Amino acid sequence: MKPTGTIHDLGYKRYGGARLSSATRWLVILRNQIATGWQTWWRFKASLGLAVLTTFIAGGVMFILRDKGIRDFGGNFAATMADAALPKSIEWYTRAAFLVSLTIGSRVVAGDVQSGAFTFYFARSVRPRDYVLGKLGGMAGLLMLIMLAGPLVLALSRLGLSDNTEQLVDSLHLIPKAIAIGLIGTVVFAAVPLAFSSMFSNVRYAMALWAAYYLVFGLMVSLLGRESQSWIGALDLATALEAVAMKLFDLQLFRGRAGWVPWDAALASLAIHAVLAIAILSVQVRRAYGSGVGGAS
Amino acid sequence: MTVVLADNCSKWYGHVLGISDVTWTLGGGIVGLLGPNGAGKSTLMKLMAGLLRPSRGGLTVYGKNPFEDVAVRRRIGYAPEHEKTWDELTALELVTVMAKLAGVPARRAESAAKDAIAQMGMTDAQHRRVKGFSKGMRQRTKLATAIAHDPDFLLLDEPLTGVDPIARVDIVERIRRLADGGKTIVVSSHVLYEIEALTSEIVVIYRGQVLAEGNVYEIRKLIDRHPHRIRIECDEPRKVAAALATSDHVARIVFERKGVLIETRDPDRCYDQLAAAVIESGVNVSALSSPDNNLGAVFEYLTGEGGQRR
Amino acid sequence: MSEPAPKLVPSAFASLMTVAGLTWTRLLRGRALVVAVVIALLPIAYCAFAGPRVGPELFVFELLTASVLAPMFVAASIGEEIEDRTTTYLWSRPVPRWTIIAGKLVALVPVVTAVVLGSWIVANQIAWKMMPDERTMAALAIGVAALSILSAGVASLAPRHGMALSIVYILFFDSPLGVLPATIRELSMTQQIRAVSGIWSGNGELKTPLIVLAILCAIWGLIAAARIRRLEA
Repeated sequence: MKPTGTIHDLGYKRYGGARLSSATRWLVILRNQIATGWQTWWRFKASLGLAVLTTFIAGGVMFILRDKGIRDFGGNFAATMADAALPKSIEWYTRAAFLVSLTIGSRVVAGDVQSGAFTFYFARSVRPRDYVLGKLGGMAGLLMLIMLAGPLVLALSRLGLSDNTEQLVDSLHLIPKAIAIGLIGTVVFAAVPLAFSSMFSNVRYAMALWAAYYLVFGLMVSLLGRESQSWIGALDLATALEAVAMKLFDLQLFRGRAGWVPWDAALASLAIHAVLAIAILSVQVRRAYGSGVGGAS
Repeated sequence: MTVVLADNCSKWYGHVLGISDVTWTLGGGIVGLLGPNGAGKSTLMKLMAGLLRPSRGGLTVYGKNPFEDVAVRRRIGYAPEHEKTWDELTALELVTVMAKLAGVPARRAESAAKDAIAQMGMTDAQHRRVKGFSKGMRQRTKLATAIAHDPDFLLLDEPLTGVDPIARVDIVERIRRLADGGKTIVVSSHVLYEIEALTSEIVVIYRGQVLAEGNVYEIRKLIDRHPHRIRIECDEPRKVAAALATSDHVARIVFERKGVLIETRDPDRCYDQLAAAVIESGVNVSALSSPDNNLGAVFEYLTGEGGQRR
Repeated sequence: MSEPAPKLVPSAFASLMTVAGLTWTRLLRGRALVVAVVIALLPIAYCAFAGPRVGPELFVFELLTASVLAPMFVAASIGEEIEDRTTTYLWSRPVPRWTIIAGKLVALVPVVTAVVLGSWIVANQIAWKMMPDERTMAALAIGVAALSILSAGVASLAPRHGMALSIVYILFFDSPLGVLPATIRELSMTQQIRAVSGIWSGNGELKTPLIVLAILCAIWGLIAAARIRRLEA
């Protein structure tokens, strides 16, 4: 039988070059997450601006209080205050990170489901774990600029303001501490909002519940913790982060609400939050993938 | 009466050009706004619907600025290109709300909505939520929202996008009926045959500028230096070719499997000579057509995307 | 061709009510109310957990709840219309644009008020086994309206992130402003709401905080109306 159709060779050839390993797909999602987060002023840059401002103010306070004239006048108190600038600034970096979590973090997965981008991802050879890793990594990449870079710059500034080499060497411990608190904050603010985002297919519900959890529930448990002088205040993410920062930097003054929270409970709370959040995120994404939202069926 | 008057109208979105220096008058009837994706069709539509303000120049609808003048928008019916509506509503609720907002009194809004839905052939689905609608049903619902308040001027932005071929024919027929009812209609599309099925009056827009406007055949005539192709399907193509080969207006002769294709710079003379040659030689002609008399060819030529623009 | 007979343009009130009706219908068919109730349960849960230790901070929690709910309903509703481009339907109609914002407020403020007041009443019953006094109820109702108008203003300025920015503005700018030990705190909406309630703020006087709140609402309302008038779809 004579064929009725003909396919003409128009020179198209299937791409036969090198392909990225499927193990690196998450990197593509990560890069895309960072790139989209960087767009427009309100998503990330405003929060970054707040973090930069915090760094400048805390650095300025540190610089002024480390001034010899001020120290001659203020004595040890001025020096202690200067050293408190770094751990106290964590409260403000946390605020900036929360702003990012509202404008980006709590929107990510819900936004992808709402806009149909889930199908776009999973119609390709992207696995749920690539998606989870990519989104988490992207958020962490953005948040590092706030939660990690700021404290690290302040720690370096403090080293630079040392009176002599001996003092500089003595202060070197600030660097790993700044990195530690920065990384903890980064992981928590990347994972928890994403988990909230994964639980709803509507951006505004995810945002509202995350905001209510962080702000309303957080303030309640923080207050309850102070009233009862118990670990319960550690359930407030901001308080827990501050409590860990105070322990790390051995801050005795200006402890505020975090002063009532045992640091080990705070650390445990942050760890549980992060692990639980990543587990929820993974299960939700896998479930969506399996149920066909991702075009798997 | 002038319905739309664009006077050196330009619109930018930041650094991105929407339309540039468009001067255009629309008197009435049904007009196809044609152009590739990103040409500026939707921008022009939105300017006419009062959703955008010109960055420079002016645009009026029935002599009024549609962005500023609330009342003139009563005479406009606009169906946007995007599919998103309030999916929680039923088709009837959606069209009723739109009718009310367009000025149909509350007591008559539902019946006006039902009429509009019926005109779009959607009565059976009017109580279903828009969320479950197919693309074709969404397009019909959008069209119903545009006509429910009986506007004088309809702006239909890509009304046939995503519609299956059977529904397409039906929608085209319904739009034609609206035009027959005396409405001025502007329909945009980047799919040439969609416009061709609706009207021969076109405005070609390209890179934000009006490239051509008027009757598609008239526009074709204006491109007089562009060789016009005539395809003759016959049993003895060589005889036809021989009769025309020496004529100075013939640019090229190509033999095809079923006949011959002649490129001429003077179509009228060519058709006269062709008729004489066929009669003299007794050649049996089974079909005579011109691939250049369709919108696609005009569009390709004007935009330089199919041939060399002169 | 003769000039066709002029067609009726809907009155501003009719448009406003139509938009309110549309907003209501969508609200009832969505899950926003369920989410709102879940959030409003937080102060109730606090009372159940804290028992007799509950103090005047409960009002602040309720105000915080309102500070999340008002943006969730109002700012998100306006932002979604712009982001989803459904504004092309609304703005191509012969209605003044301010009626769209006003219509949304007319529909949503009573809903948020009902949820917040419901939470306040139940929380009071659990904490102190009594109905809250009228002044705190009035303060919350007025507060919800004020925060909703503020959210509408913020959403009109930055539609894509209206909800997030409204929450951040109220909690990270307005609230801290309200506790500053200086006259500038009078510019804080949350401070004035607390003053109306008579809890923690103000000297018990009602007239001044109400006037200041009215002025602040008028400013945000005008910002919203002016901005929405110039927005393009």
